Amino acid sequence: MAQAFKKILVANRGEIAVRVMRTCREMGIPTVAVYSDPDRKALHVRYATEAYHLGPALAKESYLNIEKIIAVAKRAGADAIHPGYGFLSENPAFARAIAASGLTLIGPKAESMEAMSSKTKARQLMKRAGVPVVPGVEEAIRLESDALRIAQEMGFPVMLKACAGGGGKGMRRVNDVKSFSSAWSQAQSEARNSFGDESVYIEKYLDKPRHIEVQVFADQLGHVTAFTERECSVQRRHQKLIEESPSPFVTPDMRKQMAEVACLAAKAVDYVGAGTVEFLVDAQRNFYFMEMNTRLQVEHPVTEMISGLDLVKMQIEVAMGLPLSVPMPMVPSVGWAMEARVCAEDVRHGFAPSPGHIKDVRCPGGPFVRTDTAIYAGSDVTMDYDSMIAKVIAWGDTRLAAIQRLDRALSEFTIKGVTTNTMFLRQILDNKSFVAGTYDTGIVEQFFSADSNWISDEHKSVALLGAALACFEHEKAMRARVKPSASHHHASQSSSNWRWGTCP
Amino acid sequence: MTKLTFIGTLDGNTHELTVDDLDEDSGLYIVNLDGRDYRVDAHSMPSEIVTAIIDNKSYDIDLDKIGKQDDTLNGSMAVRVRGRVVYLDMLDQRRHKMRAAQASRFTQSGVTKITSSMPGKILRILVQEGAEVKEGQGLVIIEAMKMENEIKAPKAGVVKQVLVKPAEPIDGDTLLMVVD
Repeated sequence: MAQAFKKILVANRGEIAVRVMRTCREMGIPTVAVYSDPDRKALHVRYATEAYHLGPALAKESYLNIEKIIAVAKRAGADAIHPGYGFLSENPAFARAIAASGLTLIGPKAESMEAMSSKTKARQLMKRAGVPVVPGVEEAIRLESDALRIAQEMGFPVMLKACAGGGGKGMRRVNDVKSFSSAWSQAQSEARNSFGDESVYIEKYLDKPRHIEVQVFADQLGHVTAFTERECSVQRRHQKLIEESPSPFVTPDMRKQMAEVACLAAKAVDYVGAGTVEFLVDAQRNFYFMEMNTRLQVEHPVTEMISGLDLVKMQIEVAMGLPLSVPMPMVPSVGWAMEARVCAEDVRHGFAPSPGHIKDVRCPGGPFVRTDTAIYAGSDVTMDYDSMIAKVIAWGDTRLAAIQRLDRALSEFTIKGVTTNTMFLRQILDNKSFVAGTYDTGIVEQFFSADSNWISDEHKSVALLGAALACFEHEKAMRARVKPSASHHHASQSSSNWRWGTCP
Repeated sequence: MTKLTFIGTLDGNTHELTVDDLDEDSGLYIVNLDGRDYRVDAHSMPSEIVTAIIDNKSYDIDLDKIGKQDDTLNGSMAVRVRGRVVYLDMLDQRRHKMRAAQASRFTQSGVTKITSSMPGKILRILVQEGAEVKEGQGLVIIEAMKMENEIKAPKAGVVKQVLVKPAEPIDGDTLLMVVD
């Protein structure tokens, strides 16, 4: 029954599209890229075997346009589609349209996505399957007045969540009645823009829980297995920043229980392929089902690093109909892995997005370090898409070794042209509660209130010296240009060695 | 032989730096920082990176100009040293004086210009012209990179002018509103 794919279309962009294509290249399967107007020169387009234009920057008219993508797949002769993460990856209508066209989606069935894509339906289903869920309502709320009443009954703080949500979009924490109205309309509007569905529901807000998730994998023959959990508590506004596996908080007993519950959740929706069951964990180590992501996760490389397995290859094999060839019900792991998400954001200005033209990139190297990115010198980071531009992943035999290695790798990462959060990520790695492994989802907030002597006098002096030298050479070059003299030729030549775009 | 003096501002403190290139092309400099002489062996690399050896310590100094590029009185830079980013201003003596004079003129007026800190699209305008706003009140919501970002009033006042419309695409540093 197993039939190898002849050609795979990757319905995504950025680092994940490149990451998927890398495995395809290793497996000898040609790839098809699709792209929007601003992505003509994007790395995924250059990396693919074939590339087809979709439409304008607006996702609705390009990466979210089901008809166009399927038409490209047919025209290119692709027999399978990998959706990556985000965009159409968890869209049941996309899964149905692919099946109806006689193509194969490298992902779960539409029904499984549907059961999980609605957070409210998933909560109902999990409750029935005996999986613990966060206290809250199981229905979408239409009216703001009803929502406010429910929130008051439940007691503030509460979480407003998009029923179709994921990735922190359409999600707002509300502390009191006063801020309810603006949070409600923001959550609705973000939900509408991100998912095309503005319905929102309410959950009790758990105070500084941990966010721990379990990667599961299922084949078409009914086998399900789980991987060692990933700890994803380092978040800002529900966007993960650093992930690690294993979690320093999880005990061996708890690991086993979480794996069992995660497999239970997957079986309850007749799951196929790679999926992730996300849990909120309180200080007493109670864990509650939060949601199941029916796709490959951004942070899947940490699992790959400690398991030694290529999850994209497994996805492709399962989609071809091959049985899982990994240990069940749990895949063993070795050592510790950690990932940092490098974003084009200006930390000093409230993490404002910082799009721009990449002038130069030096990626980290050395042993047990992996950098997944789609930026290169000359590429553009546009405001049209997500601000995450790279993931740096490091493996170590112990947790401390992984921290030190990731920190070292980030210190090597030089990106010129956009402002990034790289130093901020390193500051977290240096944070006491992070190093001790005692942190929860409050870590980023606490971190900001803590005093840090991260910048020493030595850093300051060297920065001043470097800046003064740059200005000096710039000034000298300017003077040489305005002063025609016998040494004119010589002066203009020497100034070309110092090309300072940085000084007035 | 050239010798020039610059004023660096870091964390609100000013530092005087005098740079002296001993010999045009050797890459050797004597830099005096706050009265102390440093012997620096510096060479520029592509993309505004300098390799510098100072007292036999080796540094890659990575410089980025930030903020408005065309303003000759803007010497703001992000300087990365051993992975630590130091934010500072560096101007030659003359420009430093000019800017100080300009800054003192501005602070006397109560007008605050609200500008966008990022490029994006105007999603919603939360206040109308003539409205009184409190410090920290939301003024405009900008969408960029799939996230909604609220621009808040830096101080209390009255909205004098709204210069943008919903759905309008904007650059970083676009004037959005004037609050008095």
